[in-house]
Amino acid sequence: MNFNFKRNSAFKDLIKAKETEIMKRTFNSFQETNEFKVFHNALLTYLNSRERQDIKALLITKEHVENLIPNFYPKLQSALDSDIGIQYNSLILDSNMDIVEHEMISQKSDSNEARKLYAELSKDYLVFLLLPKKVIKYFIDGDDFGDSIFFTIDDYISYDEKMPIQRINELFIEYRQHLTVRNTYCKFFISKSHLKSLRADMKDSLDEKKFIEKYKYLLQNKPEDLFREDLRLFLSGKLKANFLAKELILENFKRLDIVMLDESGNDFYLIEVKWVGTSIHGDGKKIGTSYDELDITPAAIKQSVSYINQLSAERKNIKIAYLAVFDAREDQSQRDTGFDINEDILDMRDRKFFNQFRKIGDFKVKNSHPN
Amino acid sequence: MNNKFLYDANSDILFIAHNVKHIGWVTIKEQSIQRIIYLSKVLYSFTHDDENIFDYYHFSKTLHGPYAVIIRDSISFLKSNKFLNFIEGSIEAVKDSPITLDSTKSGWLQAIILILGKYGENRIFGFTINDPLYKEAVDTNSQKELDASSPENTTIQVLNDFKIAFEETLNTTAQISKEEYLDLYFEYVFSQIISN
Repeated sequence: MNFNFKRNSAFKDLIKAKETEIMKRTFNSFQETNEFKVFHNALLTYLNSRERQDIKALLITKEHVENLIPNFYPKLQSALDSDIGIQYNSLILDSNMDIVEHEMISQKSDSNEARKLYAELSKDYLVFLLLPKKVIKYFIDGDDFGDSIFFTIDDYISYDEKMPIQRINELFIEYRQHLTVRNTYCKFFISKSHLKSLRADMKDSLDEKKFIEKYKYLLQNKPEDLFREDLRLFLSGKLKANFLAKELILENFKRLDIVMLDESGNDFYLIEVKWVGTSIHGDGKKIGTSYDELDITPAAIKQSVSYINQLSAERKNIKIAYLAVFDAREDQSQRDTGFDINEDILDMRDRKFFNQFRKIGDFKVKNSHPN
Repeated sequence: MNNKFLYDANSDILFIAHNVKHIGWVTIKEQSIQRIIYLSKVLYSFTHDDENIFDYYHFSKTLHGPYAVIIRDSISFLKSNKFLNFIEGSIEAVKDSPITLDSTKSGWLQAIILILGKYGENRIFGFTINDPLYKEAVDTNSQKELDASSPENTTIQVLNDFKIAFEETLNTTAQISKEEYLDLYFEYVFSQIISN
């Protein structure tokens, strides 16, 4: 996040471009009153607690907003959930949160004509337009408001439609598809030109074409960083979650690969990333490290479950620790790593945490068409 | 612990638990209370010239954001004395519990609640872990108390720079109040959160 506002010309350009909106918003004093903010926030809370796809105009005078009854929220909720509140698309409320008038406006509520109508009505009333996707626009004294200065309603909707972390399993399925895209998988493997120079370095007798075919599964050196970052980037673009920076992680957990907190910052989720297959040596001139099933079961599984134990001991609200294994083995028909594991492979002290551990089905990576 | 400080914390927490009901939050999590009070403290000097009125809260850095032990103790006290109910891990203020808060404090706590209320309780966390003072402590791996009382803390410096950027760019800013700058600043932070 960029907090450098000094000599930040891009930020100043943005403010300049939004000058009219900033002036309009800060000159209209009523929306800066606590009474307005309380009522506006209450409507947002209501929308967040419901799944509505309709458009509804709520009209209320400034005087009524200034004189709302104490503890008005339950009555607001009842009014909007009532038959009339649900069936009619234009409601006038009073300070008691009673619906004093209701009407069906025949125009499309989001059309230009409707906007003109609401702007006109807002000379007598505050007009709150409750839109699908939990969005509110409002009209005051003939002006309409809704978009923020720094983000649009569409930005907000895109963010709000990201998945909650509880649905992460659906994203693992989607990620498998992502791994079959050439631009994705190619970055994990050494390039065709590298394979050609490797053939020379290894003084291999195979002809070039056969050598490339035989060694195309060779991963880059230290591919764990590439796998981890690709998975992290994919998930962070689709999940409504907070991905913790390494610096935030406690000393004992520096080696944890991906640490996420749900949007409210309450529940922890971990992903430990491993790989099986063969990588190129650091000097790029010979075969490097190989990992196989034995490196996953039991070592990686024991390690992941022990993290749950340690975090629980520190009273961290750890929900699930996943083990993600990228399988780049030459023989892709082998069964998944960690197949059919059970708690018997764990140390006694860790067994009670096995229920919070999940071995994700292997992420198969295949260099189908080397670059 | 000083009883006066605990008494002050009790009043703040009861005020928050009651006040969030106005915007439809029937209950509130302890962590949200920690975060609202932290933001109230760290932002206080942006709009006020007097000494920080929340100096009895001592926040340290945790994975869940800034944390003050006195808030946990106060909530335990209020719960055991039946001023707060716990409902599925969240807190609900019991009706008619006594709140004695001066107008400066209640006005400021309410201002922070109303700024945060636009985003919903679940999103308060995003504002605390992206708070400049907290981020600085994380980046430097500082184990010290977060210096939220100082009128020159990192967050206030960032906010002042934010305000100056407006003043240097727009034809006039006379009509923009300090609270409106705060509101705009939170919008900016949220825009960064949702664009990631």
